[in-house]
Amino acid sequence: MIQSGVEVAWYVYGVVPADASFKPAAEGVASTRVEVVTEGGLAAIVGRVDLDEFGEEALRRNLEDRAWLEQTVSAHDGVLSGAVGMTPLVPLRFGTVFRDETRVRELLGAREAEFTAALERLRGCVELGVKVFLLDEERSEEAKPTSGRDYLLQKQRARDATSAALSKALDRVRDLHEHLASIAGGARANSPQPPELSGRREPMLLNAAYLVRANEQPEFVAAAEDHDDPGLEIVVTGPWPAYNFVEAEEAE
Amino acid sequence: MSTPGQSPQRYLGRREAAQLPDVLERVLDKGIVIAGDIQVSLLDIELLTIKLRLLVASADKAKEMGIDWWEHDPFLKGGRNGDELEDRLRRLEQKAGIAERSEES
Repeated sequence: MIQSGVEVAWYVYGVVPADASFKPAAEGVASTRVEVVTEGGLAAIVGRVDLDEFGEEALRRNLEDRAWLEQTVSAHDGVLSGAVGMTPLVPLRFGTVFRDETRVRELLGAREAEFTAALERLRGCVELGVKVFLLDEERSEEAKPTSGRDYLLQKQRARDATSAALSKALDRVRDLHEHLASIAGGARANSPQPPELSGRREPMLLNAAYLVRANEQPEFVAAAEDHDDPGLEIVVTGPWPAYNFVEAEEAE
Repeated sequence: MSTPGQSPQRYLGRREAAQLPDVLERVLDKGIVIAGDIQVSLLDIELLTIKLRLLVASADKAKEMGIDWWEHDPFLKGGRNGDELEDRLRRLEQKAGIAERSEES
């Protein structure tokens, strides 16, 4: 293994049409410059990274480092998000690294048809995220139980109320998702984030992504937020690169 | 040719720390998978994603809280089993019952 500290590799963020007009982010992962490698009708958004940081050993180590991971993942998204709305864009998953520029060109050449089709499909679209949280319902307090039987009955009523509320909330969320899916170009319901990941105590009932025409975002956001249920909080995020809509099986 | 270069509007401050989970989820778990030259990446990142879910996210805990319904019911997959729903609701009721503070007046 070469110990040199200056050996570089090519980190690939995503693929855009070669004639895309967008201003690349100033800085990518590990504070590297963002560059473009063009081959035929496609261009890869890349950065030259240090193998000391992105080589196999280093990457394996760094992936365990939460601070490094968060910073680098955010930088990856920052580069791609900077181009959202300006060009169709196929986002690559984190950590796609090639030995040299030639290998990046080979990638563009080998998968040209696939990338071109994906870019066409995504043209003019962005991804919006919609998360729905179930807020605590205020429950009317019952009188202090006067007997064991009374206590059990109260528990039963509380359970019934909670179950009914959840069931109703799930119906609403399902309806919302179906409606949003019907007005979007694509829809994907992911596993809701558990509280430790979402950072919120309230249960997440929906964690979905939609492919939306860029010029229809306001209407879509309005549709997502159009509800009068005080028990639900709806959070719209984005616009994102179409992270959720670039694998073949997700095409609708 | 590119789409009209309107500057994208950001909703609800996704750059805030609270949105980091969404960034992690998308960048680590979504996006097209390409086999690069650094072979460690794909497998390790899949493991890492699992780790994030298990360690950071603790899927079991989510289940304890009764929010595991998606595992059986991704909306788009259609038909579901009624008995399963009943079972799930019963479990939810039990969990909710356990969590309840009903002694105060």
